[in-house]
Amino acid sequence: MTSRPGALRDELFENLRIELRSGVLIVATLAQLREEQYGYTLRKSLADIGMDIDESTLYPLLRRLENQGLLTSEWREENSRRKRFYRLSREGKVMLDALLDEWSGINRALNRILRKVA
Amino acid sequence: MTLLKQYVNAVRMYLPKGPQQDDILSELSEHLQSKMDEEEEALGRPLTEVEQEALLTQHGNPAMVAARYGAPRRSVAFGWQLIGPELFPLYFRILLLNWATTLIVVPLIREFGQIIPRLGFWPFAGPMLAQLVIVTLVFTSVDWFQRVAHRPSARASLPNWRFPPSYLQCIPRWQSLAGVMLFGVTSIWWVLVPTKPVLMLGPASTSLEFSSSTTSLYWVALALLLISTAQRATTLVRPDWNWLQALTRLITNGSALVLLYPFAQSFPYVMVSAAAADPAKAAILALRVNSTIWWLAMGTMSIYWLINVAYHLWVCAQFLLYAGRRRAEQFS
Repeated sequence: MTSRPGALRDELFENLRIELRSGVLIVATLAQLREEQYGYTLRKSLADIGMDIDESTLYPLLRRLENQGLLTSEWREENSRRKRFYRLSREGKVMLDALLDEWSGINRALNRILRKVA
Repeated sequence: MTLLKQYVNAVRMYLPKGPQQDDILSELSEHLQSKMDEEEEALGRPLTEVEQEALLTQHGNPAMVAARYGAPRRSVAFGWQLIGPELFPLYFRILLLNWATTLIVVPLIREFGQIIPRLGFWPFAGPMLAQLVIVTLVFTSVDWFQRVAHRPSARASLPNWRFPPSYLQCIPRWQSLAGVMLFGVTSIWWVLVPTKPVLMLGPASTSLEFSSSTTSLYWVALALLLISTAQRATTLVRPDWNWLQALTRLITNGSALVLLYPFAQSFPYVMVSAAAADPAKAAILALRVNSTIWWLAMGTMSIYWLINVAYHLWVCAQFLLYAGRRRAEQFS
């Protein structure tokens, strides 16, 4: 019985963490794809900079961003294996700049709130 | 077939058909292959089948993986769930296969069968309805059993894509016990039928009797029933002999399918008995009983046997390949 509130809190934290990260992951993915990469290396490069993303989340996300016209992709052979390379589209670049502006605004606002509380 | 291909094929089953399906699967396959390559590079040797299985299981249940791509999660429910989204695609395919086979087999039987007795209902409706009920009942039981046997969290990562599939890893003892009881009782009933025809014909046994053409079929059917009982008794003691179930069912269902020809030749199966009080009435009754037996075997059971033979042929082939892979892994 004593572990239940803790488990509930962990679950709640996990849900909130996922919500918080989901938007940021889109920005991070778009930013990382300013340079062409395929899914596997993209996931690794995101993990290397501390933005771990589950593979079953990454690929559907890439597909969605491509359908929205923010990414372009092409199948190419590398090391005798066919791989799908993604890159930010022109529309994606515009969108990324807009999202980064928005992110900076949110960040500034949040910092002001936190300073006031402190 | 490699484990990776099996896994990707399992995901395919849950994805909607269309131009995107192959694209998604190619990318998924490429990603998993890259992961395996990286692991192999780190270990300095090829991954064993157990390690490959662990890596693929970690990637997630194929139904869940497909759902993340927006695949619809269909199920059968009437207020409460009968068949969940994990089993639904297989259920739907098997039902369609049964119905498609019915649409092919029934006209063939009508066309080429030497005796074409007619029933008072549309010949397709009976077998198709029977298959709907049987297939739905079987899948509802499997779904229920899976829900009882696995906690929801464990079910989410249930590796239902690998071979042998989870239900063939080890034959559940309850399943073998149920089989021993069902086939044991049926065998006893079958043994008693020649001396006590009332057990099969009911009240009609006073005016009908079995025709002599059924004698040879009787003994073969008894042999098949005893083989089925013996298989279930064996897997009750040795649940790990999963290959025995596939092999026995291939033999028994295949034999039943072959027996359809002599069965059709044996028509009529019952005749008016010399002791019948009203021979004219008994003749009508005999025609009805003969028609029912004929349609039950040719229209319903034949499709069940045919699909079972095809399925167990595939399962036996997979067992052979699986054993070969395990042996190769042991010696490498």
